[in-house]
Amino acid sequence: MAEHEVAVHAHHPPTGFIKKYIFSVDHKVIGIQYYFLAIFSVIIGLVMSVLMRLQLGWPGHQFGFLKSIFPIGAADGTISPELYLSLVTMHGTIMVFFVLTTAPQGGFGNYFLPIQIGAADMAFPVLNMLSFWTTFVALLVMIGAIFVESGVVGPIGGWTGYAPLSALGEASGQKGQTYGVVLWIISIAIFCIASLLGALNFITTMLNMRAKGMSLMRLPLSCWGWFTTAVLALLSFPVLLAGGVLLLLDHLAGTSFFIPANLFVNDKLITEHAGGSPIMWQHLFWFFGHPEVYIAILPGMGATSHILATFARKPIFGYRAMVYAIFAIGLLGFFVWGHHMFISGMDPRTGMMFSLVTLTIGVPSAIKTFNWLGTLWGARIRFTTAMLFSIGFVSLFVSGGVTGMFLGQTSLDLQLHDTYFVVGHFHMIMGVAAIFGMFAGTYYWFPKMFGRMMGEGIGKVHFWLTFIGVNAIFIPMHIMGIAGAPRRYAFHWNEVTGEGFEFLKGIVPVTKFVSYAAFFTAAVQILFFANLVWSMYKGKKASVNPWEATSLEWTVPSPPPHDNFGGHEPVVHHGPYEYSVPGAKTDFIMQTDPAIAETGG
Amino acid sequence: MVEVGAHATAEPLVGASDWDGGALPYRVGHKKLGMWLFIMSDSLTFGALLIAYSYARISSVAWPRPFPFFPSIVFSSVMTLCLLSSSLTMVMAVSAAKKRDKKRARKWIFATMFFGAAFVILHMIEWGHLIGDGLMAFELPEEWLKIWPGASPLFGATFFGITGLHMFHVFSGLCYLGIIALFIKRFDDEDVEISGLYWHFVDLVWMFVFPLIYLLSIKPS
Amino acid sequence: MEHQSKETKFFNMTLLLLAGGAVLVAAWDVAVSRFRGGTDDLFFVLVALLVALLFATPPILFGIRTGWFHEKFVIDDEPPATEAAAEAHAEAHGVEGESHGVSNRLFILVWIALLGLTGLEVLLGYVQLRNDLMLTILMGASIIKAALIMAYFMHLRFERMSLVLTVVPAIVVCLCLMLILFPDSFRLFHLR
Repeated sequence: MAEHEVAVHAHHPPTGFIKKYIFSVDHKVIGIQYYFLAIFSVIIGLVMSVLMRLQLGWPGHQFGFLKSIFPIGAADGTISPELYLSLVTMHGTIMVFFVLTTAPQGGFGNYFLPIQIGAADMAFPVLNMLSFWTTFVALLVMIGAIFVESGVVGPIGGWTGYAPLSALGEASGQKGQTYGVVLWIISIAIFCIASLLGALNFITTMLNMRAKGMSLMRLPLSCWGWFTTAVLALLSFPVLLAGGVLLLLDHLAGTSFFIPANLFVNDKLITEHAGGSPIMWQHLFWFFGHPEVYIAILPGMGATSHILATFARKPIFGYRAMVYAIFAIGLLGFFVWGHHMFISGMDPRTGMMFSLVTLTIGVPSAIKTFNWLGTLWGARIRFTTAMLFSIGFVSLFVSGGVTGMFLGQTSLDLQLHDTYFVVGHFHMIMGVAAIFGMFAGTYYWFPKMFGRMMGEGIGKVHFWLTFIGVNAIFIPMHIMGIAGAPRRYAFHWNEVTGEGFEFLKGIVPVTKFVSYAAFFTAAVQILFFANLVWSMYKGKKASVNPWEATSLEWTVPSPPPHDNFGGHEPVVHHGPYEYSVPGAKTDFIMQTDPAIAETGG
Repeated sequence: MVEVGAHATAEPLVGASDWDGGALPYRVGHKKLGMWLFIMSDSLTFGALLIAYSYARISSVAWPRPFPFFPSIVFSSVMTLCLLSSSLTMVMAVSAAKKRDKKRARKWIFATMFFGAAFVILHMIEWGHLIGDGLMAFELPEEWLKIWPGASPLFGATFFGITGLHMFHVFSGLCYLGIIALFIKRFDDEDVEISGLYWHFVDLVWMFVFPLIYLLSIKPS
Repeated sequence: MEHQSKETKFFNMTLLLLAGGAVLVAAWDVAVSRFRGGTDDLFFVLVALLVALLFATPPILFGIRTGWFHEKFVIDDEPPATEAAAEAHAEAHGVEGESHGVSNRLFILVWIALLGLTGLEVLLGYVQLRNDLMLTILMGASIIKAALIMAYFMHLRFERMSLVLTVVPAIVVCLCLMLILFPDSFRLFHLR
């Protein structure tokens, strides 16, 4: 809870009404709360990934400190396979749900969508508060899932919670699969409801509360990113909710939606279940799961477009094409969930359809990439830290997206499925690219959120070290995957005991290299957190418009007052990216500037 | 999405002012739009559940058809009648509220709640009978297995799961309407209309649950 | 303005092309299965046709709105201005004005229609049709009932077209998408 109070103090001068600001209905406070919730979660997720890399790099080695952290999972100082799997599960779940879904959408979206469209608050402020606190409860329950059984071992089923392992409970014979999974499912269900409420709030706000003159084609692209994300969340989370309810029934009421007959698990024949289908869970999960990938990346795309145009001092290349492309990606994102299940045994004809549509997503993605490059082409770029992270986003989006083309083909996926190639691919695009979007957003919007500038020098060092670090982690993973290293295994070749896959002996040095790179990258993030905290208190005071940007958030004081625009409603006369307009006095024209109306829009 | 853009471009004269900010593009307030979005999302929850039911049923070797025309189907038809009538009374409540006649609106809401409560009670009685027969969420009664050998135990799971979630919606709708009716002085006609939207949605879902769960499981004579 | 109409034309042409493509896919499937396709072929064709209908909706509505159909198919009729006039009329009255215009008699008629359809469904259950025929008729009747409820009870008929175009296609697309699960369940049945 400390971080909320910090946020509140930094945002408002101390007022004595801490409670009022904790259960605030102000979208700005809620945005900051979401942001710090995500930072809290990302630290947990990061520590878990470091432990996983420790295990993967040096399986079988004994580390004394592990014994004291995990007295059961690592009784002899080495991480047991169960503990490793539970780390994988919790790392995935926390990162996907509580970082990639909350920070860009709940954090930046909540804070800046109303300001960018010229509204005083969200459409349903109380609902907004409820969605945050529901998310918070979901996080608490999720953390509870780690501790509820036998100390520090959570569920082991992966963030996808594949049935029948997740549905069996005690019969699976695994620790963490009884109450741990129950709490895991309940947490996901609560999170579904929170996201659903948040999404309908976003859509209503964006459609109904735009200021006068803020036509659809004058919205900053970040708004389009958040809006599309909200549409995806609204239509995909209910399906996961339905799936979660069924899974919970399997678990608690003894039904067998996802459990087939004659299952042989843990040296026992399961007789009390019959008639279900594990593939149905995969369908229901991935019907949500694939749009979820876009829920994570689309706000990053929006923020990147916004920041690229600002610091390239040029209008965004092909604004309309960008909007249509973002919608096309969102729409197609619903048609492709089957590409996660090519080898699950589903109907091969549907596999062909899913493969085709998956490859089609490359088209709008390429439109976006080329428009980003077109924006940068011939520009007098200001290389601020936010700009560097945005360019890094484009780079990672390309290198992560290209491997998606490999995996989208059924024939190639047969070889690459469940190898480190997949791990490298989705970390590149959904993990790191989305995180880069968040970093860009943080460096860009920090002055508005906290009224102080972030340290630029340390920020640039942070960018370069992180950029090199993540590429050093994830590019070798592709090679490991092609070599055949399967994912979700606690080790590939154990040098100490001589167990594992003989044919993977050769990749041991690569694994160690990846681990070193991971430790390095994780350590570099300390720079970011230090910069964040230091700048919050000691940073240079920010002016109203430090980046000379055009959109509405830069017309209000930093940080903005309680009702954003001080009681009056702004009127918009210009498109969002009117930089370097010929004949204008400055190289940017604010959206609210009435000076030369009718030049754009 | 696509349709939004198409609309904005297709209707330059009428649409121009509506989609250009400072106006409600659908001529619908925040709360009503929010309720529509909620309904979209909730309909997908039920859609997913009904699809899961169909999936389980299609992939099963045998599926029990335990509902005799009399009394089961007649009984559930009466339940359907209750829910449909409650929708009619809700419409009346909304149109009374539109005419600023809050007293009559309240009366109609109470009528709606009466039919809704009747639905829940009838449903509970039916559940009681089925549980009395030995139907559980995880197993079928012995006699059913004799009639339909190898029948899937998912019948009970889907039946209780889907009708249970629907009943939960009816129940929360009753609470919602109760609050609206009790404090009707504080709510305007739009609030009544929005509660009506939710109530009709619950009715709409039953229009799919009733044929899929009941009518397709009529006992062959 | 010129820019806008060009874009609209492009938009409509693209959507029509997509619709045509979906119809072609359906026709292809029918032709490949030599008109004797199984149940999953039926699903496939139905989904393709629904998608085609969905894609074709905005262009058709655009055609109705701009009076394109009037010009092409109806020669002696009142001028197309009536459409815009009716809309302006509706707007002037606002939401309340519209609902006042709807009499309770209409709602009772809708209610009777819903009861009638339900009665028909129950009657079909009584005479015990074949299962697939039964399913088709029941789902058809249910969709009509849902449409009636949404249009009249939920007042969607009296809202603006844009709201209908926002709400309905999204639900229809998502629900149609879930039909992709069915080929799997048929396969599973054959594997058992």
